[in-house]
Amino acid sequence: MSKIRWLFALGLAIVVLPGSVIAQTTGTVTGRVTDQQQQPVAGAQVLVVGGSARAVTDQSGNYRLTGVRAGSVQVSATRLGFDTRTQTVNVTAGGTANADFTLSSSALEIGGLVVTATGREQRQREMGNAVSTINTAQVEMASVPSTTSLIQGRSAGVTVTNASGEVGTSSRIRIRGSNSVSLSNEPLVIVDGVRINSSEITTVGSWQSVSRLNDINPEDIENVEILKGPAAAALYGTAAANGVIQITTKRGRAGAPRWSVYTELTNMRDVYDYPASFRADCYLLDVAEGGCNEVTGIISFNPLETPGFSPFIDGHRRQVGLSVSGGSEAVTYYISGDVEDEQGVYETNQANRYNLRANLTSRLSDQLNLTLKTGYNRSDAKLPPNDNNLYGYLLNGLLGSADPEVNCGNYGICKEETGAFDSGQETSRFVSSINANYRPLDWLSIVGTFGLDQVNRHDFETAPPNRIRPVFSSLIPMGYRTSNRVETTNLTGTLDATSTFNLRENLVSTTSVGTQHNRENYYDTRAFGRGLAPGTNSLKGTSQLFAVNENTVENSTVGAYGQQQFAWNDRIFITGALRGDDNSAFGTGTAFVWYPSVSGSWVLSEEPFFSRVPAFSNLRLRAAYGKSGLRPRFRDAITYFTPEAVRVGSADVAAVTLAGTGNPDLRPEISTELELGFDAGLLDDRIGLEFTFYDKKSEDALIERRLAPSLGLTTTRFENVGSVSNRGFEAMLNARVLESRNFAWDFALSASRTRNELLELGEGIEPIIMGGTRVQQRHQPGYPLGGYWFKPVTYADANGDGLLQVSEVSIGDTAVYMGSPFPTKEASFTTNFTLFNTVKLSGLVDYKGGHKQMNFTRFDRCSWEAICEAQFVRDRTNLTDQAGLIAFYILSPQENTTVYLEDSDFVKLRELSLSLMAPERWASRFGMSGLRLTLSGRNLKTWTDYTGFDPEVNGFGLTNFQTYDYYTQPPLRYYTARIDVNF
Amino acid sequence: MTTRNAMIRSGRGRWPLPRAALVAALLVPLAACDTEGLLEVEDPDVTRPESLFDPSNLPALRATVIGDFGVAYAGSGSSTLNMGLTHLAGLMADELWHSGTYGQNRELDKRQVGNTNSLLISATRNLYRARTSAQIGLNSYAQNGPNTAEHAEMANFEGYIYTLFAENYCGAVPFSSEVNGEFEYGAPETREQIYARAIASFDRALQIANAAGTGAAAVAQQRLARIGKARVLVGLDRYSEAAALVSAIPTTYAYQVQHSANTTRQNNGIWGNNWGRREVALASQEGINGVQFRQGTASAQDVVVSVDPRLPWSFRNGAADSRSVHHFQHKYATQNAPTPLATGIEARLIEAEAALNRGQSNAYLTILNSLRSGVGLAALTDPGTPQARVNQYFTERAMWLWGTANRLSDLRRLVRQYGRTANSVFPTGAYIRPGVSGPRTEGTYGTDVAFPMLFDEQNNPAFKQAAAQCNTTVA
Repeated sequence: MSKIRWLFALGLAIVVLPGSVIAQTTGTVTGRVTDQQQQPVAGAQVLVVGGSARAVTDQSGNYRLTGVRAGSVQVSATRLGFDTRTQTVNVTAGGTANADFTLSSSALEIGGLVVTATGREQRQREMGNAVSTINTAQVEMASVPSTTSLIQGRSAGVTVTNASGEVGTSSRIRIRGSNSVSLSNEPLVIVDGVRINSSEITTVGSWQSVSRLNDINPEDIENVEILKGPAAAALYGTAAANGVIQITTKRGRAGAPRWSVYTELTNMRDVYDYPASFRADCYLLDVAEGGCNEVTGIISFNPLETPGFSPFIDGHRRQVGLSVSGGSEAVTYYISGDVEDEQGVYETNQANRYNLRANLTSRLSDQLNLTLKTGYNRSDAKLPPNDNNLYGYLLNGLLGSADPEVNCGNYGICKEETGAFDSGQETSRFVSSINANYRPLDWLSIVGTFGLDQVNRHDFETAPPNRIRPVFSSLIPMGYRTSNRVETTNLTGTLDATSTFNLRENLVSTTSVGTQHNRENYYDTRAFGRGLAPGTNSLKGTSQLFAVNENTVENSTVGAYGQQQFAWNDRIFITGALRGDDNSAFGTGTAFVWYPSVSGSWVLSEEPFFSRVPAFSNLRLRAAYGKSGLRPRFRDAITYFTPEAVRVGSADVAAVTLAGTGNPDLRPEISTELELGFDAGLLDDRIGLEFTFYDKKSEDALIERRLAPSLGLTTTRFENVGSVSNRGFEAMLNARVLESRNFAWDFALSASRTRNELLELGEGIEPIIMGGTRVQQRHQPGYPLGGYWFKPVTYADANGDGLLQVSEVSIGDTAVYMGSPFPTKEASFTTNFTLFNTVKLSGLVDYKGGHKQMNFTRFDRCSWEAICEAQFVRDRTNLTDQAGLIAFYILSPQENTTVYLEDSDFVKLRELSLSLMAPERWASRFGMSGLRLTLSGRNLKTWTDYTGFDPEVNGFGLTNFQTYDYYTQPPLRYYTARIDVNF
Repeated sequence: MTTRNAMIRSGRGRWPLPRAALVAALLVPLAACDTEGLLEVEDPDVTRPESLFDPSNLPALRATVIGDFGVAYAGSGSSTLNMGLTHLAGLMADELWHSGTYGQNRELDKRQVGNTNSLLISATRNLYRARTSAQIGLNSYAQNGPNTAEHAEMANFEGYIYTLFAENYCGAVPFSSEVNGEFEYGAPETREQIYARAIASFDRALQIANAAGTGAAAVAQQRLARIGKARVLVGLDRYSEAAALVSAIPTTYAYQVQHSANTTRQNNGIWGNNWGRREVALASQEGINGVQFRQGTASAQDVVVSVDPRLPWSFRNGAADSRSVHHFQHKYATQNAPTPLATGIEARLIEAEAALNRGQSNAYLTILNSLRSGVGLAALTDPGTPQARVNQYFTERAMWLWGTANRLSDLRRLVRQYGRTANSVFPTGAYIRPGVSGPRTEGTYGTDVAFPMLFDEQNNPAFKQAAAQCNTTVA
């Protein structure tokens, strides 16, 4: 453990001492950055190549670099969406040199800056790995209701899957496949240098989750950078094996106050045609088997589509926001406020939030910048019962009684009874970071970041007394209340020292050392009581089964790292890094874990010989290799018992029960990745092409292996066994097809493919089976993680009468692999047309394929309850449902649902928007610098062969692997009108 | 000049060492901070294993064993599918009817149980865990409180756990253990081997209870051990030995697994699924062969029928599946209704069976009628044939011992010890949910007469080699 402090001290000496022998005096460089129309480019990054001086242009495009070493230096200017320009500037000691830049738009994005694990910004051209950057300035925000939807479809290899259409719920995010068998596969999320709690929280009373990631207001985000794997994220250490999403919030630019006001009004609709429920005297199966001559006495009713019975309403979303930014060279600010309220398509589905943010940057001296970023978020979500819930709206409506007089046409309870449940989550969140950038010398910079993410959460569910009939439970009329208070705190502290100096004329050395500490604390107090006093929601009045529980989870990581980069002619970059971590959750036998990485980047097009290659305006080759990890969970290394009350004689007394079987030898799960790729600019960078191949392997995989029951221990124990492979490619084509004064058209096409495979599970460990026989998923070596496994069902209508008999259906003897619930192929297409700088049409089309979905809703309706039309009406029947009924009820020793596993490839018109921008002259008459009206739609059209309502949903919410469609609210269609005013 | 290609040149200037030294001086103390302290975390919510062997924690340890055994045997009211052996055995036999939405219950009820059935997984794991707890309790009491009634109780729990494995599972049940952090895997054992384990445990319990003196608690444990051992002996065809063991036990004796409304874990498991969630209903004449547990006729919904006071019942239209008629049993009509583990009535029934096997039909009938008169039931008459007497006896046993995890074992004994076929005693034929109208069937009953060993047990290499020995169709 003490290794860390000695390593850091040694590294510090390495950083400081070589540079100390270089004697320097400094001067200043100022200038202006404009585009080709001579319009100022605000927010452009200007830096000294091979030095530590950096600046950002103000709203007029002006910048000022101080502390620049005297002599001839290279100054570079860049901004996302533009190319990079570099020029030589002669700086005199104590003097001020001038360098103006004119940037051209570029479809290739290798010139931008990326925030690294050290807290510093690094030019993308120096990095050997691919980084996806989503700049909110290039996104139609009217189409983006949340931060997860901001990411969706905008980065190759990043899979964002909507689990439900209920407002306030979230999406499953996977980057380059699933790495871990038993630990979370969600990426690490960092906001302004602070690790935040991005966990998916399943709310009480709902299978769906609320995402902490969506607490971040997308309107406050300047950009999102996605580091996709260990090759890029090795310096993040024991947390980054699933990739890293880095969010940078907006900051002010020097200049006059710039006010932005926006307001949005959204109409949200459930656009699905829900089927009716049927009943009759017998089934078509009985006809086929000779049990009855024809189906008679058919009745049907559709409560979801019948006014007065349907729970659906038109939803809406309203959002109003205000921000002001500006400042001087000494202090810049960005202050914003935002209020949103969403009403879903059920009365009891709501999501309201407000956000406040203040970001301040102070230039205390030429050597010291201080940035304080702080955001407060309050969000209240109410989620209705749905999915696998007997009290759910969709379950009751889709399993209807077929008779409006029986249970309101529903399965068991009426919509008013479902609506009586009050469940949701209230969250207050404070995320704050302070970043100090101290540049005592031209060659040395020290960056310190300290941050806090504090979440106070209240999960609750109330079933009021005497409102819900005892159809499914005798106790429900008593009412009950669950109230869980949760507090989570994430602390991040990072200290980094970087020196940059020239080893020789064309060789620059950049050395960084740093240390980092992360602490995650979770505390909750859970309370439950049954028997509520009418009219109250208070636990105080509960008369039965009052239960309280407390949980503590603490985790701490201490790490140190060193990184060395050599840059040859600013064209070839070789970087090596090493991070070491210790963590409180490692077993007692594990002390220190190392994560090495090495990468190279070669800007081939800047080699003198390359100028003869036609068409290519830019070409960069890159390669990266690295390791990162995932730590075990809080108590995985120890055996422990949890308290329980037990009735002994006539009294309840304190006891315990075994709750965890520990493994003292636990180590982190290590993922190793090799990444190769290139970035090419064609036709003067009008076309940008990126291609990346990756090969990632998780070894020492932490498997929650199922223990032999006869041991009499817990069901599982974590062990470092097994390995998982993810291999694939990502490609992206950006094109600025037309760029004229009056018309512009650009598009981006991205595609990716992932091959996930569990290579081994550990000797003597049987496949891990999730779910029962109805929906069985497995982790089985040689196949993708969480694949669907079923006994195959074959059927043929031999006599061609349209009806299957039992003898015409057969079931295989053993379960076989039938597909993965995770897409293996993805593509997205985004495009923008701009006319006369006043009309802009944008769209996003999203494709996911190569995966399966279990249509469990159809199974439930057509086989388990057998109330779908296909089982009764001859000209509306189909062989699939007939085979399903026979396989499930009659043939299978256990229940067979195979025929309801369906291909779920889809193409979605995810976003479409039309913006009308008032001419500047016209807007200025009203004192505005900009006025814009946007009309947009989201989830407008889906093309798929999947027969359920939507192929994306998951009735398990955001579980690691388990996936099925089971009375899950499909995505809503959004129609939004938004007005943006700037002044 | 604006270029794309940056060229780097060396810098020149004055010597900045003092400033660098200052920076280093500032940073080194930061690097030397207490990293050990930073990694410390607190964990106040749990108990570590070593605490269980503290003499002052014996009462809590006893409660732990009682709690774990109670959940394994009689289930809980929790929604995490912790259903006990009373529930599972009742479903596979003719005591309970699946009336809900859990396919796992349906598998059990239809006698087509997969080895990944999640209800079976939780119940089996709970039973194994209860064994581990009982053994921890035995060891701790041997060390810190030997030869006490509580010490004997630990051995009795161990004996009953083996008995439940032998009676309800296929004849290939392994017993493994963790010793000093290492796993020691056991090979599958036959019913006879498991019965031998049970007898050893009951003998030990009896020995400890005898040494514990003649106090009420010690005597209660002696009786528990005697009934437990006698139950095993009956399963081994040793009826006379069994009867002799229990002859001195008063009919009023009962060892109950206690339940409480305090927490869902403490709820009576059958109540939880029959009353709380309505997932299972009181069966009657299930699958052609089932006993008519519902005696009498209900005049209306929610009217309690007590024609046979051993098992009052009522009905309501609409179970959890919202289709079938739901029948409530009133033996466990509240969350805290205790579940008998061993009773004096069971002792008398063992004596009656011994008499039946000795051909003493009068003695046998006298015992049964004596029990019946105690609850106001009319006396039975001799049906006249040995086979009819066996039917009569097992029907009486079924009524007295309903919901105590005896019935599945009794049906298996009818096949094994009385020469019946499985299809003549187990529910069989078309599987139809209670009260569902129309021609719809859900296939036919399967052929299982015992629970399979779990798929997860394949992780035990000693079991994997002999997994085929687990035959769920053999009684």
